[in-house]
Amino acid sequence: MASCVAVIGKENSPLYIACITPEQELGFHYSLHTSLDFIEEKLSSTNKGNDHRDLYLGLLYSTEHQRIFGYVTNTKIKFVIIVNVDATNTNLRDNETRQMFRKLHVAYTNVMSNPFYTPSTRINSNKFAAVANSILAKQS
Amino acid sequence: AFNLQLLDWTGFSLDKNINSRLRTNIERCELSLLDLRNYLFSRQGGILISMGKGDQVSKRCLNFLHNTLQELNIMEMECAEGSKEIWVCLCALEVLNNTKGNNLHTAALWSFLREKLLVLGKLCGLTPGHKPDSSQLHLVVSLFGGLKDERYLKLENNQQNPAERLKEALSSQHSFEKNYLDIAETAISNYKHIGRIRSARLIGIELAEFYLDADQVQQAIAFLADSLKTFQFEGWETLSMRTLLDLAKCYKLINESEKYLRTCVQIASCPGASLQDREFYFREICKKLDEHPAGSKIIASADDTVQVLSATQIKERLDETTVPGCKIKFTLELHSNLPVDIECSSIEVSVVQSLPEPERKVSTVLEDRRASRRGVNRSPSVASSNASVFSLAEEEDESEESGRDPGKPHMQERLEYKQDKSLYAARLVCRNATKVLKRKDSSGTILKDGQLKPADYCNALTASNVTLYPGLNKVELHGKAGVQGIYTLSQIRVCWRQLSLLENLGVPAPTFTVAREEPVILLNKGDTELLAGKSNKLSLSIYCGSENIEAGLEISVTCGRGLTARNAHDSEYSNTITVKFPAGSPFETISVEIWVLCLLENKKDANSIEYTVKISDPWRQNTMDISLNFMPALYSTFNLLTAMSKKFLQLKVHCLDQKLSYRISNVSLGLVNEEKLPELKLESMNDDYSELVISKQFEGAFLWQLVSSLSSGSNSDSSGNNKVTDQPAVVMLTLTYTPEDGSEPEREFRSTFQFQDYRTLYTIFAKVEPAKGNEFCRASTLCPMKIEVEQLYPDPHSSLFYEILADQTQWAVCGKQGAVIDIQQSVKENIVVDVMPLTGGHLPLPTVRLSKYIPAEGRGGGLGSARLDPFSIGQVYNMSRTQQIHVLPPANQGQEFLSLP
Repeated sequence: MASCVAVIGKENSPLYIACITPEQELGFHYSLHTSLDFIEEKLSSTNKGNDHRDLYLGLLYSTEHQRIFGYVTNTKIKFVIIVNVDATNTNLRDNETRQMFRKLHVAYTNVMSNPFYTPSTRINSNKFAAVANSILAKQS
Repeated sequence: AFNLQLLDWTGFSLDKNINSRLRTNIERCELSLLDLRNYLFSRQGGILISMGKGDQVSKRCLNFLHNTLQELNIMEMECAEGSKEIWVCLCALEVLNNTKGNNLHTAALWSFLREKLLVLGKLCGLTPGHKPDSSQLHLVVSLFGGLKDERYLKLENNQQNPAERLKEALSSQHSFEKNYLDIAETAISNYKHIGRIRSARLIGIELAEFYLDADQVQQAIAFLADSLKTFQFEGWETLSMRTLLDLAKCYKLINESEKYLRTCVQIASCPGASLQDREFYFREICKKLDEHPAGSKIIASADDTVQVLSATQIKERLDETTVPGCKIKFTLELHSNLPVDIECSSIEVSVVQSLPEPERKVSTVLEDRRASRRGVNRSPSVASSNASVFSLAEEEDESEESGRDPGKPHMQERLEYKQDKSLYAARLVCRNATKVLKRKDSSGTILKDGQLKPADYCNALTASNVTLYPGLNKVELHGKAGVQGIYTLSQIRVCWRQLSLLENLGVPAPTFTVAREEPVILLNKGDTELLAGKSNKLSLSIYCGSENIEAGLEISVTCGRGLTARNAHDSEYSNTITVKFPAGSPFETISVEIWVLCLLENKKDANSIEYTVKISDPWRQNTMDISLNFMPALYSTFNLLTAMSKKFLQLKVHCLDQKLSYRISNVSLGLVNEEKLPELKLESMNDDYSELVISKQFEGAFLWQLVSSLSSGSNSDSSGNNKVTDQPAVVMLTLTYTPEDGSEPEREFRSTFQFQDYRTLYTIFAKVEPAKGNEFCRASTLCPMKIEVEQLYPDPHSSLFYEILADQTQWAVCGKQGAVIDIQQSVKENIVVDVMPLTGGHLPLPTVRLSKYIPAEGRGGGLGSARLDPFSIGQVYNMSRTQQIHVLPPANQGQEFLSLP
């Protein structure tokens, strides 16, 4: 379903990036980096109103071939999922993306619970990778 | 029925007339899918614009374009190459022409337009570096064929409608470049305007590529450098790596060798790059350095190349203090990210002194505040609030002393009280917030090159000829401490061939403190008391403080009167000596032994004697006074003893030395004022010992008889001689002493004593006799007390007054208790007084006191106005003193009152 899953830290540096097609990795990196613009925009516009914002930011932006979804935890950790838009999956339900982000968040929480993990360093967890890959693998 | 082939790729127009033309097409069922979409969106757009929601149009347009393209895809529409792009460009241009200014969504639309135009340019061979071939030219023609001009209105004022503009853009390479750059710049500026810097950077990267193709390397560099800054700032390694590689290529192209070198260093030390890349660029560095002149210096940032993990001062002892001029050692933990070992000619860390002055200023300001606060708080809460302020001040003093690390937050608790002394607020205050929260410089590395200035390395910690291996390295740096103060390590410089890799050390930077301590001179006496009259060992020490003391330092010691000193190697004592010291290193104590001898003369009690020693202080340019207390080793006491008319002089020599006994010899006593008192003579009563050993427990006692040649009998005929008795006698005791262990030479001890009234003028003999006819005295019976006063020497005070003093529980004096007697008539005077013992037993006799009676002049009579003058001790000798008499209990009393003797 998703073609790229990323965790971006509080200071906007990437903590984890996985994508289905390694040859396209650079492109995904650019898309992820650009998505930060939209995340920041959304955060600054919603934060002013209410404190209890939805962690799920929804569709950040879309290009001709990609739809980019975002999710920001209360500690400003960003999850970004990129979905390729092609003939096979035109309609991705909102519920499904939420589900993916929730899975990712749980997995990230588990990583953070590991006392040997230093926050805001790259995530090198097999369990986390497994969850991320499961989100990627659903595609076919 | 939609055509399965896309033949017409004209974009929509927001013009009403054209739309109605489209509608008639729909009515006639002569439409394509694209026509329908165009029509629907143009109507939607028209309505939105007339509602004044122009910005919505661009937002919806982007979605519309995406969706329609997707739709075409899904429906597997057959479309000519480039036709969809033409359509997108036309639609985007139409919307952008019709929306004024920029809003959130126009930027994305511009960007999309740019993207599609670039695709078109590539298809048609219009991008720089290419030449359109005939097939591409043909493609342009056929693309234009599917574009219906009549669907666009001609615009006034030479403005182009979308079709015209697109046609112009694709007409030639030059106009394509112009239009493309124009659109790209608009997209970038629109993105920047709405704050989407990253989106702008992404276009910048593509634009850089375009410029590079067009051989405009400088422009490309500008865009790449901007992007690199953004990527590096947020830690996107892959992206910054790519950008760095592109930049390196650019710099190489335009032969910017310094910048190329710097970029190469960055790539070679970037962990995100492939090992091949890193090694390649490392070789490039070496190649470039070979080309550079040997003496030149190239400054580069070491931020990613050589990272400083830690810097720790090495101390030999835990409590070692760094003092001015002493050697400093630091261990640096460096992480080299270069793929290959490098031989560094030197690694230096610059050191900046943070002045201690500002800290002091802070404390004075605080004091002022404290004072003002106290002044204001005249409420009942004064006491409590003051207490808190005081404790605060103490804490501060402590921390001030301990030399606070400037990089660490200095937190303080602050309590505030209401008027009723209840706690109002408690807060934590950071005292050095401005220092701690100083913004860490975080701008991009490439741009930093200009700002990165080498610090002052003249007082730096250095290590030379170090090989840095890839990964962790430990380097020991050496330096010399400057003047006292707190120093911060500010910048590291790694010199490798012509390259100087600089890096400012992060906050909190490691610091070290250089302390200075003044040397202190001490005079120690050890644990025993100092003794006068014998030599005492003292140790004169210098606590070097932070100074290095060279051998041969001289300090003069001047003793006060009566005190002498000598160096350990001297033999003679003198008032002033010069003490030479051996060499001393900082925080060491060097000491030299000196001996002091204090004069012991005429000492008659155990009180200590205080002497002052002046010691010159070469550091403070003054002298210091040290007072020393000496216990006398020996002292003598004197007693004049009387036995009837005989007089004895008893002299005792005491020793106060806890440890040693003294051997005393040659003891002699002489009259000092012999010529005035020729009649007096001293006769020794001592055994003829040659020496006597005395110690703390055993004093030496000596006895002399004072013999007067004026005998009691011959005195009466020459009364003129009698006057000499007023003359005081002075005797002097001389003896030699030496410690029994023979550790010191024999020394002489003298003491003089003066005494007066050394003649017995009167003797008193008193006795109580039993009442007549009785053998014993019995209580409660009157007994006569007979007192006999005899004059031995003529005395000018012949008028005497006697008193009988008795314990009133034992004696009742029945006669006159006292009376004046005139002894001039006879040498002996007998007095009888009736006394009555009150109890039985051995009772001490009532005491008889004799005084000089001086009648009041002029007014005769009456004891009240007369004056009694006591005799000196020894002038009246009472023979019956301490005598007792056995008194029987009263005869008629019961057994129970019997008082046993």
